[in-house]
Amino acid sequence: MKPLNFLLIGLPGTGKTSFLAALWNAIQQNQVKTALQLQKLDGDSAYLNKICDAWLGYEPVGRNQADVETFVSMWLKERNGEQEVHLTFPDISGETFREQWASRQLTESYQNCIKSADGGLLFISPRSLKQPIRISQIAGLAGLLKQDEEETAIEAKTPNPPTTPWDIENAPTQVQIVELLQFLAANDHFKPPFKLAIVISAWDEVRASKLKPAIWNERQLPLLSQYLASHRDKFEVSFIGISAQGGRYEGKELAALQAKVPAERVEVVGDGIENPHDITEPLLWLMKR
Amino acid sequence: MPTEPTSPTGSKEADALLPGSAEGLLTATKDTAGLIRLPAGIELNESQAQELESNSPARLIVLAGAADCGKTTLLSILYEMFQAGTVDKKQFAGCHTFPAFEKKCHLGRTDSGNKDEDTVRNTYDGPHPEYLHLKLQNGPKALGHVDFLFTDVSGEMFEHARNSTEECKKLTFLLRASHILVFMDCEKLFQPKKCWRMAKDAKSLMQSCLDSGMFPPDCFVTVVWAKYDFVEAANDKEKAAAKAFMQNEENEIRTRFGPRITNLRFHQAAARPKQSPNMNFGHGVGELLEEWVTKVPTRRNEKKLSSVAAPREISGQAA
Repeated sequence: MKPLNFLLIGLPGTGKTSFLAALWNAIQQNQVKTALQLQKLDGDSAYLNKICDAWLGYEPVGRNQADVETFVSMWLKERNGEQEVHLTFPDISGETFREQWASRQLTESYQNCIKSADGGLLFISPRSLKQPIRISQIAGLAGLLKQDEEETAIEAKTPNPPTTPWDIENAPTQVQIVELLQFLAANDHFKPPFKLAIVISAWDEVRASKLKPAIWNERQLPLLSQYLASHRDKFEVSFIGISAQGGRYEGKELAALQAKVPAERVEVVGDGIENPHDITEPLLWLMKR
Repeated sequence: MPTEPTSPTGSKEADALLPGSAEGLLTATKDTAGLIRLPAGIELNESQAQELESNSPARLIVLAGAADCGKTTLLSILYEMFQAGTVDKKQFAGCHTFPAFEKKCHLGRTDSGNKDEDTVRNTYDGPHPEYLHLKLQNGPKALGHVDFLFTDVSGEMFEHARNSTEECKKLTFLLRASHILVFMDCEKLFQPKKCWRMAKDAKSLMQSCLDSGMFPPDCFVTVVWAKYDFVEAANDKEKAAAKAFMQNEENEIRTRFGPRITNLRFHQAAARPKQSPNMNFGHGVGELLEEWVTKVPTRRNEKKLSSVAAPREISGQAA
């Protein structure tokens, strides 16, 4: 059986490894009836077991090292069907993606992953969003606060601090993500239309907004939203909010998580999602041709 | 293309690490030799810009004017506006010069540590401009995209062109322009020692360009009253005087150049309206963009019709 290869795309700390850890648990348990389940083990599962153990122990799964590219492989089958699928994911370090933006280079192995990719999951974390903030926006907000004359006079006399030099790594998240997608789309091996599940990770952080993932993306990352809307011929997208951890590993949130069956910690939100704890549903969407 | 092509690997070692091979989990250590270079994303040079224009019906927008008259600010604010959403229904569709735009926006952002917004100044380096790129779509239902190239040059380049038709003839990029914006700095309307000189300089530049045959007859020329927030913020008396001055200048420009420039218009803009907080950020920029998207020189139309690609797709007009 020809395996289906899905790229995991995302800047550092966006939840790619947490997703894999929660996924590895989900396909091997029965408390939550996931759409896909493990069919058989094949080869070395040490890495997946290691990150899954950390996930089950409410510990950070850790980040993949910048110079290491790990390929994970899973043989899965539909729980309510006969379809079998061999999925492989390159768990590429977020630093590799940052280097594409900042150092303007990519690795040969990632190039090969693009060559064989049947789709991808793009991870965006609300925790690490870098927004472009203009000085006048801050000044406008400050103007709303009452300032006495003395304060204003002191501020006016304060000399401008030395300018911080421009650093490419501090560019807005949406700019970096659009550039990654441009690089992908310009690659010789890119095959449009490319199915791309856009995963808003740590969804528990934005749950209170009651926004749908697509709307959240439109409000927080409008440049990315416009880019994707302008390239429907290249990218077929689906927006999904996923909390792989289920919440923060501290205080009352941790206690609440510990009271749940592990697979039920996972939260999945998005159009067409049938089971709110089924982390395999985005994969099912990617598998549909 | 303006960028170095990425090369396929052809590496057997890399192929051995591909998913789907015998082992379920494979780990590789990055080989420094196995890196593929990506486009730098800095400003495009002349040959890169021309290559892009030959590959797509890109529209060249020339921003002309003295130093510190607001050319780069207008451009960087247009980019900033797309960061926040669509601009007059035009949606962002791509950019070949992201890092270059980001660098230009730096002094206007909190990351710079500055208290006041500023713009990175361009330095003069001969009559060869650098270009910034944006790809846009004219509304969500439009077919295709439009590539825009914006000149990013120092005011000094135009000072040379204003003073000499020979120098002006070196600005060959003008001949490819779809839209030429001649900037007039409204801040100087309130500086008696600079006001008349500013207006004279702008008219001299137009005269020099026309006399050296560097304004394409079908291109759109817009005189932009930049930093218009200075006018809005002035007291009634000063505002009235400034508006009268502007009206007189517009009349003179129409009389003097109107017969030689078919598509001549005037526009007010305050990309970063610091002086008049009641004005919207990017005041007047959206209207300029509308012009650039919808008004195409006739030579462009001819090129479109003779092109292999479908004209409607190239135009990027709403379907």
